[in-house]
Amino acid sequence: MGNLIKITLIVTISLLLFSGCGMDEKDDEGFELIKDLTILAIKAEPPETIPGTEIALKGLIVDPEKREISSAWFISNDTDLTNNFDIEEATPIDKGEEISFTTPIQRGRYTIFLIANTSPPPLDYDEFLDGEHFITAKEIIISENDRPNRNPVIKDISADPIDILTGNNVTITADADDPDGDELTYAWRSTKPGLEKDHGNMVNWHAPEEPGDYLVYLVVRDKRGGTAWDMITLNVHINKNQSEKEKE
Amino acid sequence: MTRLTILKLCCIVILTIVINIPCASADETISSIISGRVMEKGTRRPLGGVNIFILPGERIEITDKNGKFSFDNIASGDYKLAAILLNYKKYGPERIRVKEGEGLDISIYLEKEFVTMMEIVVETKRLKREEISPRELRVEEAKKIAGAGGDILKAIQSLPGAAGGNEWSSELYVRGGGPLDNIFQMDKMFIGNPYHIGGLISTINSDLIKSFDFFAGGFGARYGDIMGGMGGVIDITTRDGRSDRLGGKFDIGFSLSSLQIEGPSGDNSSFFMSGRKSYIELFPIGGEGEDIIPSFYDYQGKWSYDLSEHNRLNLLLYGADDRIVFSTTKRNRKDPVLSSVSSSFDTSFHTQGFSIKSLITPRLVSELTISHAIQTEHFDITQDLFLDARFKEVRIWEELSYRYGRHYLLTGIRGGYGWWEINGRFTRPPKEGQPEYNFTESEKIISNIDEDSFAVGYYLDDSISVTQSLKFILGGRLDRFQPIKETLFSPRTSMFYNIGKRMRLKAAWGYYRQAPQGDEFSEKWGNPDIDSNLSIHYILGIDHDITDAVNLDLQTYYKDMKDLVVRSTDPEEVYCNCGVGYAYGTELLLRHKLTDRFFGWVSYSYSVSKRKDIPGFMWRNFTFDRPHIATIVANYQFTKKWNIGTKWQYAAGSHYTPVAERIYDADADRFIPIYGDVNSRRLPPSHRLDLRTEYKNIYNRWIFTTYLEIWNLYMHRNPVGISYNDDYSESSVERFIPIIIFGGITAEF
Repeated sequence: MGNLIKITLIVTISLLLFSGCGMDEKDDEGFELIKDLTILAIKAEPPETIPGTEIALKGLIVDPEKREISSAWFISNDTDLTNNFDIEEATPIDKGEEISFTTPIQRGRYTIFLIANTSPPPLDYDEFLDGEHFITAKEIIISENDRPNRNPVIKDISADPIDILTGNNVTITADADDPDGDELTYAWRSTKPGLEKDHGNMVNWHAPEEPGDYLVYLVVRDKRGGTAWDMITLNVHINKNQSEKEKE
Repeated sequence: MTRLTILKLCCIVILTIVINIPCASADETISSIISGRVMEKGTRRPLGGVNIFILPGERIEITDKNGKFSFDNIASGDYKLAAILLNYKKYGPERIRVKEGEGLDISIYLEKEFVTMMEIVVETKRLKREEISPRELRVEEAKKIAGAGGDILKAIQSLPGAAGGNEWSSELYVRGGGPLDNIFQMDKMFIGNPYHIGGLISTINSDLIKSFDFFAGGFGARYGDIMGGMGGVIDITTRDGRSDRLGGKFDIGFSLSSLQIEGPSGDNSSFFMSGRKSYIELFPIGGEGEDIIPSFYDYQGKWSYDLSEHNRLNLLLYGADDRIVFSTTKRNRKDPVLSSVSSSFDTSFHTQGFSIKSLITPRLVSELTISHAIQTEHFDITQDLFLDARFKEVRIWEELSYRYGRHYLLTGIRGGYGWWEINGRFTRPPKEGQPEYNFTESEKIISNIDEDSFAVGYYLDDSISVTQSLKFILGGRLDRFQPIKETLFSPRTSMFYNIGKRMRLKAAWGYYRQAPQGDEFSEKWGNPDIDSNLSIHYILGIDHDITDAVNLDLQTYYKDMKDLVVRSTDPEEVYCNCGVGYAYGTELLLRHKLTDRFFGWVSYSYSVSKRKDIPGFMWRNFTFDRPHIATIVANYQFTKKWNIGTKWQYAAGSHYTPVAERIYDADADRFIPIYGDVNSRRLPPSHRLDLRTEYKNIYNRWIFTTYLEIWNLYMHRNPVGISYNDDYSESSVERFIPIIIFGGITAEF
């Protein structure tokens, strides 16, 4: 039994020493930055329901290069994605960014997958894992629960200041609620750098030096599978006084 | 008588008196004694056989074995004294004054003409049982090898057949085995944790080691305790405390200090005590927002007593304690349970025991060893992830060796009774081949275990000298491991054939069992119905003494592994004996033995090790396999004060399992890696040049040694692993610190 202890100690120490202890760990430019094709969230409406009912599935697909994207939905009754999971074993449902889906007859937990691919439609189901693609998974619950979980609601997103100049700091605030009173988590994303890390319903964003319109996405989760998202367009412009001075 | 005559007579009398006054002392009848002791400068080791001269008079005395001398009947006066001994600088002539009726006691320190490393070797010569794959490394060599920091267990990594896991670790990966597959024992007692902080340095003070053996495979029936055997054997023997006088040593280094005291404790007994303590905790490591603070200490103590001319009693105690405090304010997206935590890890072991060695007859030797060990562990990550474990064991080992005719019999029985208590909520330890260990994703097991069990083993082997050139060793062991109710027989045999006076052919074959790990056979954590792992060794080798100092050793081996304990595809079963594996390789060692000024070697090892986890699965690479390792070691004693050593080593990179796909978990807002073929990629190779230098200042009663080591002199950034960013879209090779420089001062008294 002493070796149980020895193994655990060796692994734990190795993990701790290598999980960011000053060696050349890969620097993360920011989880918040959307660099490539990404599916930020999947929303199931409702997130928990009874067997044999129709639910709406919708994905939030973002491509910084704004290409024509193919997307398809799959389902699996395997909810442990960490244990030798094989995505190719999942069953296809339908194609498109938004679909309707009739839930299985058998109660339980299922994993829904949305795969987006940069190859334009039409694509066969078995082609979705070829080339540049992105896979997102979400769990849905099929049960006879009297009080099934419901999705949160984002009432408003606002920016302060409203008039955004290049290089300025902006505070973006979200007002969200959960009909079941669940605690919410907030995830902010953007296709341009500038969002700070580790945030709640409020986040700071540093406007770039280049003027233009910038999208910031917000995904709100209730920790029980409920999801909601929204976005805000931030119009950044040059300070008129500054630009006139530069002209002079 | 005329006036003139009387005057002449008076002058003569007066002159006679005057002339004779200075000589009066030579004719003095009150004599004195000149006595003293001659010792070696620095070590204060008494020197016998020293010629002591006194002038005038040309008297000579020779010191006894205790370095003592004595000149009787010395008249008072001034003399000159000199001392001469071969290989030592002459002492004197020094002026001494003997006072009337007073003795004179002198301490003389002779300085060696040249410090030869060879002298030290002679003292450690001993009778050894023959083994097929010994990798001999003398203690004095091991302590001087560059890159080992004076740590003998780390020095073993310089030998073929023993690879290191990565740049910072002292752990050993031997011929297709992992770090937990090796047998470590010291004076036939259990070593709880051979290494501090998961492999940083060993827990045993190298200054207290008299000798050690490292066997890479094919070892005899004496070894093969069920807790190891798939790897190698490291068998350590401690030395006794000095018996001539009280002495000691303290060492102040960059990261730790040590103190040892030893000496006689009576006519027939001696002792040593040693302790080491780190202070690396004063310099926390970690990135921004993180602190990792390791600290440790260890101690060893021994008391030796001659019960009689043929019976010797040794009492031993040793132990070590390690602690790591880890805190972070960062969010860990890959393993969220490690976000913003403040954790601690404590582990300790303490062993006490005694042994009685008896020369029952000139041919029959008995050694009885009884020990008690306690090992404790405490992990505290969060209130939902913690573990408290306590393990106690009592072991008894009785061994008899008997020589008669052409036979040398070795037999013994070894038993142990253990108790363990485990309480906590923790994850299963990862197994070899598992790509990533994740606390968040792993199943948490709630434990409240309080169990006990026993294991016993009996062994017998006979070394038969068939002719002067041919020797066979036939033997085996029978083990009973009660937790899994298994009785195992392991036959072993080896052969040695001398071809002429300088060449020897050797071969070995044997069964080597290794019991499952504690978590694997636990009812709570694993599967109580599993059996032991099995490895069958086949070894062939030849060694050739090219000259008296230069030896060439070539060995080739094959290991056939069966019934390996692996994770089962059935989650209810957890573990099964479904795994198989093999390892083969060749090791070449060209060595210049330790002589007056120089020792060194060139070695190369080639190895392949594969595993198959489940029937029908593909063969995969073994995680700890490093197919090419080349090493050059050289150490030279330039002057009697200055020694310099260097080591260069090249090793193929370790395997790793790449991330083949990633899935974004939309509910948890994090990415899940989907791994590709196990161990299908290899890190870049590593290579580095290490340097060690020592400068010794010898005074009469002290020796001061200043040492400096530089690891990775040309600062090659050696890989230690692969890391991914938080979304697993990019990876990079993690590389170790480019250079480490450390040193210290040792004072011996």
